Amino acid sequence: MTDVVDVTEDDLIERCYEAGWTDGLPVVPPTAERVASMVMASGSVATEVVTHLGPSRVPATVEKIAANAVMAGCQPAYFPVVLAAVRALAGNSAAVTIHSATPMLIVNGPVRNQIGLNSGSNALGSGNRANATIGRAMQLVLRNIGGFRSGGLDAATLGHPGKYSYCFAENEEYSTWTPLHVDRGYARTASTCTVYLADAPLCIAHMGNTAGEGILATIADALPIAGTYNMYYQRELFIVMSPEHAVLVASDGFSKRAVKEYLFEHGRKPAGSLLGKGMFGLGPKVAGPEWMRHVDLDPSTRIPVVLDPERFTIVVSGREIGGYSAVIFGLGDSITVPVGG
Amino acid sequence: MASSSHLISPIADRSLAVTRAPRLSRAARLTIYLIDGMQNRKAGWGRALLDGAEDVLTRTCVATFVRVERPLGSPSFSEDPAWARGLVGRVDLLIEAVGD
Repeated sequence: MTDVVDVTEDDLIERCYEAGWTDGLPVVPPTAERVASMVMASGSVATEVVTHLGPSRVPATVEKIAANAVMAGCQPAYFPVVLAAVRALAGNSAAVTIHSATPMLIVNGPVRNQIGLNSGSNALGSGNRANATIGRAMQLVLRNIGGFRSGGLDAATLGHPGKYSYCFAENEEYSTWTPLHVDRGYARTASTCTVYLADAPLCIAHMGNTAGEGILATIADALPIAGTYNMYYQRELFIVMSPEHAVLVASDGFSKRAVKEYLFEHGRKPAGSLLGKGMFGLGPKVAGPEWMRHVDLDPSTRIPVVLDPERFTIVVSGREIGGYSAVIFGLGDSITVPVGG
Repeated sequence: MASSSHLISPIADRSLAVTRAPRLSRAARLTIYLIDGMQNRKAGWGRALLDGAEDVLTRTCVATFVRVERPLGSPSFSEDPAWARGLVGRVDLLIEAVGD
């Protein structure tokens, strides 16, 4: 059913504020014409239920998602990526949590260039309409359809700035490795959206030593932090490598698999230095790490930040020059879905 | 400037119809277990949730409430079938607060 709200004031943006629809920033008013254009871009009917969101399993229809995409400032051409992100998010069961994590979107394949997504300079930052508005649309969908708003289902203690928008594309053109979507079984010509419940990126600088192993050693040093969920649950962890780092590492003979194995072996901390810190003070719950349940635990045992090397996800993004990569901690495992599929 | 004065609400129209659990008998005295299975019990969230549940249930049925203290480090109720089997026949309703 279309929910039409009569608005008599000129300032429709203020009405959106009053209705509680915004993320704190001004939105593009979701007029019937704009929403219809967005719906048309999907090739679907407005009433089609794309998925159900949140613990109340609220139906997310094409029209409601479109209204949020309009408000975020999306162009209709972006809408298939927004729909894919919502489908992936539903599979990820956006956690009702007081943790800061929020959905991060990574886009792969030809759609990146077709709609002008930024995978180059400042890829994880501001300044590009597609990145900014697709990520923002995801957040507005969570807020308005899923009910994830402060005081409601979004119970975060702190949150982080990615809750405004958190979307970037992989720089496939500057990577010598296979891109994320190909690693996950899609054709290189396919377009995909991957969703991961992510903390803010931790920037890792490494310069002055161009050896691939040196770069990996710097990244590995940043991984075993007692206070992250990753260290406790040992689930998926994202590494966003700059093209420069990726090229230097690859040119020293590291395949993506070899990178993961290196980080698995070196991104560790002795068990004795973890106990009593972070979540390790909670004890060995079933969901927690297996190693804590050993009564004869050797405190010098070096504990990896993920359970196995494949739980590292490596993507390449950012401008071609610059010795910076990013470690992105988070919750659970990411989900990749096709765009337009 | 918008070309229309009509806005499409971005809020979902409705929630899915949820099948309600069987209602509790008002006449019989029930035994209700309340378990704090929160990951961080020291924060008090689980206790607060269970307080709320007990408050509501007290007004709707005659019951004996049993707060179950499970030792830190034990698996949550839902992950511990052996412990759960031991409750069969002793409990009419079990409520566990879980989360982080």
